[in-house]
Formats: sequence, structure tokens, C-alpha cells
Amino acid sequence: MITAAAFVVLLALGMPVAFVLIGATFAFILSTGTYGMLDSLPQVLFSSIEIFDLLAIPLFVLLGEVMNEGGITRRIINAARAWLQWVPHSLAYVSLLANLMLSSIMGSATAQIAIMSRVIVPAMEKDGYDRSFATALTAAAGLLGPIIPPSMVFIIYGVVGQVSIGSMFIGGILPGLLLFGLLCGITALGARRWRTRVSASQPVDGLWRATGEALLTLSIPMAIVGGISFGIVTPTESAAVAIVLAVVIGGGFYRELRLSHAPAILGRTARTTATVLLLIAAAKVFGWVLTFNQVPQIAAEFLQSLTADPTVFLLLVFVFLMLVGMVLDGIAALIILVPILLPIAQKTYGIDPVHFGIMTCLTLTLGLLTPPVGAGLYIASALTNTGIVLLSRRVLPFIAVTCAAILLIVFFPWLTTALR
Amino acid sequence: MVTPMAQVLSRASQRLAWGEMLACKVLIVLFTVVLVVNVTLRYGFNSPLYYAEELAVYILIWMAFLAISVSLHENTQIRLTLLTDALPERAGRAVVLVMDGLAAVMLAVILVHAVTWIQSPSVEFELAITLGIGKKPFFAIIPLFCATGLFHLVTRLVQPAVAPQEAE
Amino acid sequence: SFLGLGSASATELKMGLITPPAHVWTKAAQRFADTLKERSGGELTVVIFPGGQLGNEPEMFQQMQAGLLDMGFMTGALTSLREPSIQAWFTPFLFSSVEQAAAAAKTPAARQMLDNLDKIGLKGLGYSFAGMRHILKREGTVGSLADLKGQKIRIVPFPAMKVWWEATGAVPTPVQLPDIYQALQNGLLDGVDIDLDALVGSKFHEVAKGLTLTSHMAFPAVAMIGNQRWAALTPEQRTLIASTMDDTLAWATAEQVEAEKRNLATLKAAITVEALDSAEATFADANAAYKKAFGSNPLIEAFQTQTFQIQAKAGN
Ligand code: NA
Ligand code: NA
Repeated sequence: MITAAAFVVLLALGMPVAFVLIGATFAFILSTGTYGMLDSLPQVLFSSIEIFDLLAIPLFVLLGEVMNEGGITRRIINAARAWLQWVPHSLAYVSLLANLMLSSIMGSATAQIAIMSRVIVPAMEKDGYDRSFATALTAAAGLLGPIIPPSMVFIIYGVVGQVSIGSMFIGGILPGLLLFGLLCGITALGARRWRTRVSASQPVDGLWRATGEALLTLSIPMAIVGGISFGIVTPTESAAVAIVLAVVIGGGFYRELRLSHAPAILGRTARTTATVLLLIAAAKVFGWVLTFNQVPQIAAEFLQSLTADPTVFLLLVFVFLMLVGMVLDGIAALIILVPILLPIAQKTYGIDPVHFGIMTCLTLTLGLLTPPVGAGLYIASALTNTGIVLLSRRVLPFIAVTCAAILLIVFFPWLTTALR
Repeated sequence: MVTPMAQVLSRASQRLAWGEMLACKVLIVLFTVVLVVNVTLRYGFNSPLYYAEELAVYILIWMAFLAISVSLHENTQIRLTLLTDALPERAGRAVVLVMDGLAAVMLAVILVHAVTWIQSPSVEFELAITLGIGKKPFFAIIPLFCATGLFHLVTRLVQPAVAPQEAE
Repeated sequence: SFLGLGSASATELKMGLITPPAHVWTKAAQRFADTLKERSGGELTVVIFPGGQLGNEPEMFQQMQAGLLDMGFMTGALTSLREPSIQAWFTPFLFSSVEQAAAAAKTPAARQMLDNLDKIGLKGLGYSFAGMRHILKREGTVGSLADLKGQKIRIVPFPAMKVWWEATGAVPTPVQLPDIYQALQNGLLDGVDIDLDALVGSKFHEVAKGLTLTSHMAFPAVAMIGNQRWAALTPEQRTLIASTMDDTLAWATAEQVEAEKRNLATLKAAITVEALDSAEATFADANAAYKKAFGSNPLIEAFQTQTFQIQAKAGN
């Protein structure tokens, strides 16, 4: 109670969000008298970012910076617009399609949001879209990352819940396409409203000229896709390799990137990373204190006392996980809750573990976008310089369609099992 | 009104932040290079740097906390300014000041525990396994960050000349 | 109890471990909790935090030493960093099965290793064993060292295993646990050093098709309790905890022996499984490298000698 009050008050009074989380942690420790936790806090803080995959954040920020300064992004977008000039609001769909393709090689939503925020949002803004809309669209499309296989969350779910990871991957395909379709629908509605300047002023380059200009730049996405698919690099390493390529192309071939740009580029990378990683660290500390005192565990066990109907149970789990996803990191929540919820779902309600898994993973991944604690929201906000409150508001319709997708999955289990 | 003492502090905070940012830039280049070299050695010569991932992560951690410290100097951490914006200017600024003061207290508490922690015998056993060296030098960033971050925060409190950057 | 508001007479012990729910160590922890609660009439309860919920192993060690976390099943790999004699358990080809490893847990040298943990504020209660370690490759099995030359093999990064693998001519590659599946799938890794339980549990047989049975190392965990907590218990409670843990560990060994058979059957039905009968000779250079690096520790030598003695006795 005191923890929740501290959280709300500090947040409302304008304390930096990361310190709000630490403040709530302190409030919890004070109210429970578990002062011993303070001794472990420094190490938890350290370990919270001692994670190899987090390197993806600064690396993809840096890649985006280099691509933008080196004139690479502009050429790619020009080519895409040249090819899709007959489609209204083509760039919004280019963004969604690019996300869909990226999803088929990347396993993490945060990394994908980091990439696309830097690559596509500036281009969409130039093309007349409201920046906050473009950012919200990009953040939401990032959710495709862990739903379309491969997927880090599915792997963790598979291991924690003893479910075939291959089945999870296959089970994610239809829900992923469903989400993609729904995102296209909401984008069609949103683009009309949030594209304020339609590109009469933006002449489209000749098809062949634009394509020719961009050909060289295609080696960058190809290096990422090919490198990961053929087992040459991990997704994180692919960013480092792509940076080198982007430096060579932007500096050596286009000659737009200069050494004098380096300090500013690196400075922006450091600043962006600082904002995101402090939030991730603080969220981890908060989650650790809650877990230690079994708050999520007790709440999960309470759920099964409420109903005997499988669909109602799934709906309760959905609401519960939405609430959990507001304040806890998705992967942490998965590790804590799946061992408790899955046996109940399987034994008491006879729910298919893949069905349960896809629905659980998608709901917890959606937590990346739900305020007040959402890494995806923070990353997108920091990378595109969009206010967090404005972005939280703009992302609501996308959260709504994702919820619709989850509800469809709840009511139609075959979406997750038909391809098996 | 700016006292000479506050001026000295402010200049020190500025110089410190400049040094921290320079270190960040070097470290970013460093972990990118480590990863690229590892990929090259692994794919091209089938002899990866066994310790590359671990080293890159520790460089990241140092870079991140140094950059976080700078963000406390520059006052760029994300915050909700909905309510403070609605208040009259002086009241709004007072609330922000109180909040930053509270954040400074938290940082001070963590600093005390971090200093105790880094000196505790249990830290001596921590090994960066693939690097084969003790983890203590890497852990040292936590107390260091708490100290520099606290310094930046306190400096801003005694001289609140820089208006907080708006989140919106 | 919720927010620490339990009844005054009950003592709640928090136990952390890194393994997922289906792992034998997590099952042992659960059984320990159930048995202790029953035998103490509810006076001693244990809350389990599996899957690294409270952090990675170094964090859990720190939390135990700080008196925040009470108990843990910590891997021998990480424990050996704090008590080097634990490396003895990773002597290559010292045991051919989980039963043999469990038998060696009763040697005086093995008990001494547990007692040595006192120096770092912990009380060792006993050992539990995951399955023996084998080699899983994406394609093909291992008939000779030529089949491993230049192959990227994922290992658990700790000194004993690293030294051994480096001497095989393979390229030991540390990859994070959640990344192994995809790394095997796309060929970033050519294989893994793994026990059958983890193999089946992590579903690696979905993406790698050649298993070579080598039993080259055992893989123990050490059950332990923080000294601060231990000191705060009554003598009766200590005796009860120690005896309950002994029974639990014996149960876990029996359970693991069965699991080895079950896992092997599962894998034989799914992928190519071949035994490398001459494994010890095949890996002679690697075994020598291990001996050179760790063999001079007197407690390790004593452990090896005592283990040979009990094996000779059992063999006759
Ligand atoms: Na994916
Ligand atoms: Na959230």
C-alpha cells in the first residue's frame, strides 16, 4: 500500500521515473522493515545490466546515428517511397513491413524498437507524419519481434514451462500475422489523421535513380539478416558489424559521414543509453524486492480461486498479466509466474500449454508499451525525443488492437495450434 | 543569487561531466571494436576471443553508469512534468527541488551501502569467469557512480539555475 | 508469509536456485520444503525461488552471505570459484555414472570441501547431481578428436571445463543459456557440452541431431545454508534440517538415476545416440591438461584417491 502510494506520489510530483522506482523500493523496504535488502541493492543494480543482450541498445542506437549522418537512411527511404508511391501513406506500411521482416530474424522487441525508432521515425516525420504517431507505430510494431519466430520470450517460456520451443515458434506465426493485420488496420485509420503534410512538397525521386542510389545500402540489412540466419553473428553482434559497414558506406562511398561527426554521434548514443539503462536497472531493483516478498506469487495463486471456467480463467490471467506488465519487466514476470500459472492452466483447466504460452508471452510483451514502466516506451521515447506522456497517449490505440489480438487468441485457441 | 562556492561546485561538476562523457565515447568505440574483432576471429579464423562477450558487457556497464551520472548533471532523466507544469512557476520549481533532493538522499543511501559492499570479503570471490580476473574493478563503478551522481545532483540543488528539461 | 507477518513461532527459510522448475535440483528443493514442513510440524517452512528469480548465482551467494537469503542449491561450477577444492568434482572420467558420483559424496575429502565453505560464511549440507556430461552436436557424433577439431562447442564457463575443452582442439564458446537454442539452430554453435536432463529440458534435440555419450564429467550442486541463519536455529532445528537434507539428497540421486534412463530413451527415439567407449583414452590430452591445472591441490588429490578406493571396493 505504502509502496503504491509512494510510487504514484513521486511519479506525479515529477521525480525522474527511475528514481520513482527506487523510491518505491525504499518505501517497500521501510514498510516491511527488511533493511537487509539494502546491503544487496548495489549488486542487484550492477547485475541488472550485466546482460549481453542489452548491448543491442547502444549498438543499434549507434547504427541508427551512423546511418542517418551517412545519408544511408535517406536513400533507403527514398527507394522505398519510389517503389510504393502508388500506395497512400506508403511509408507507414513500409515501416510495418520492415518490422515484419525484421521480426523473422530478431528475437527481442526492445532491440527491434531500438533499431526502427532510429531508422524509420525520422523518415516518417520528414514525410509529413506526426512524430509521436510515427514513434507509437514503431514501438507497437516492435511487438512483432518476439511473436514471429525466432523469439527470446518463447525460448524462456519453453524452458521454464517445459514446452516445445519449436511448437511455440510455429504457434507464434498466425498470432503474429494477426497482429500485423490489425496494426495495418489501425495504421490506415491513424495515418489519415496524423499525416499532417501530405508529400506534395516532397518530390519522389525517379524509380531507377532512387533504387540505384540505395543499392549499396541494402548490404546493411542484408548483413544483419544473412549474418544471423547463417549463424555468423548473434543479433547483438550483427549491430556491431552493421556499424562498420555503415561507416564504410556512409564515409567511404557517399562521403557524407566525417570523422568530425563522431563525438556528437557517440555522445548521443551514450545519453540515450543512459536514460534507458537506468530505467531498466531501477525496474529490476523494484521487481527484485517484490519477488523477494512474494507479491506476484501470492497474487497468481489467488487467481485460481476465482473461477472454474477455462476461458474466464484465461481472461483473468490476461487482466492480471496486463497489470503485472505495467510495473514488471516481461521476462522477469515470465520466470516468476509461469511456474505458478502454467500447472494450474494445464491441470485445473486443461488449457493447451502452447496456447497458454503464446497468450501469456504476448500479454507480457505488451507490458513493454504500457505505462508507467515500459522499456519499449522508454526506448522509443528516448530515441525519437518524444515526450513520454504524449507517447503513452498516442500508443493507446495500438495497445487496444494488441489487446484485441490477445482476446482473439483467448477465444480461438486454434490460432496457436493450427500449424502444428 | 549565485555564491562563489556554488560557482566552484558548478564548474567542478561541469568538468567532471565532460571527463565522464569523454570516457563514455571511448568505451562505446571499445565495445563495438571488441565485438567486431570477435566476429572476425570466430568466423574468419575459427578462434574467437573467449572473453569477448563478458568484456563487452563490463565495458557497457561502465559506460552506462558514467553516462547516467552525466544525465544527472544535465538533468535529462525522463520525468512526468504534467503536474509541476500546471503549478505556478515558483511552486513547480520548489516541488522539483524537493524531488531532486529526495533522489539525492536515495543515492546517498545506496552510496553508503555500495561502499560497504565493495569492501566486503564476498566481493573478493567474484570472478569474471571468461576473463579470469576478479570482478572488483568492474564492481567499482557502482560506488563511483553513486558518488559522482550525488555530486552532480547536489551541485544542481545548491544552484538550480538550469531549468529541468521538459519530458513533453 | 505475506509481508513478513507470519506467526511468531514459525521460521521461514528462503531458498534460491538457478535451475528451472522441472530440474532435479528444483524438485529436490521442493521435496525438502515439503518434508521439512511435515517433520517440523509447520515450525520450519521453506519458500523456494527457482529459475534465478532472485538473481544469478553470484547475487545469490552475496544475498546468502548478507543473511538475506537463507539457503541455496548452488552449482559446483560457481561454488568452486569460492572454494577451489570443489574443482575436484570435475576430474574428467572420475565417475562413469551419477551413482558413482553420489557415492563419492560420502568420502572424507568431500565432507572437508563442505566444511571449508565456513570460511565464506556458509554451511555446506551436501551434494546433489545433475546428469553426467556428454557432447551434443548439430550433426554427426564424435568418434575421435578429429570430429571436434575447430568445432564451436558451448561450455559452462568455469575454470575446470574451460581447461579441459581447450585441450581437445575444439573451440570452447561461451553462449548465454537462452541463446543456445537459436545458436544451435542457425549454426553459430556446432555443439554443446551438456547433461541429458538439461538437453531434454531445454529441447536442444529439436535443433541438434548427434549425441555422443562420453560421461566425461559429473556436475554437482552444493546444498548450503548461510552461517547467520544456521546460528540462529535451535540445535533440534539444525539436526532436523541436516537429516531432512540428507534424505532429500539421497532421494534426488535415485530420482536422477531414473531420469538418466528416461532421458536416454527419449533421446534415442528422437536423434542419433552413440556411446564413445574409448572416451577416456580419446581425451587423454585434455585429461592431462586438467591434471596439470588442478591436480596439485592436496584436497583434490585426496578426493581422487579416496574415490578410487571406494570404487575399487565396490568393484570387487
Ligand atoms: Na522474431
Ligand atoms: Na509496462
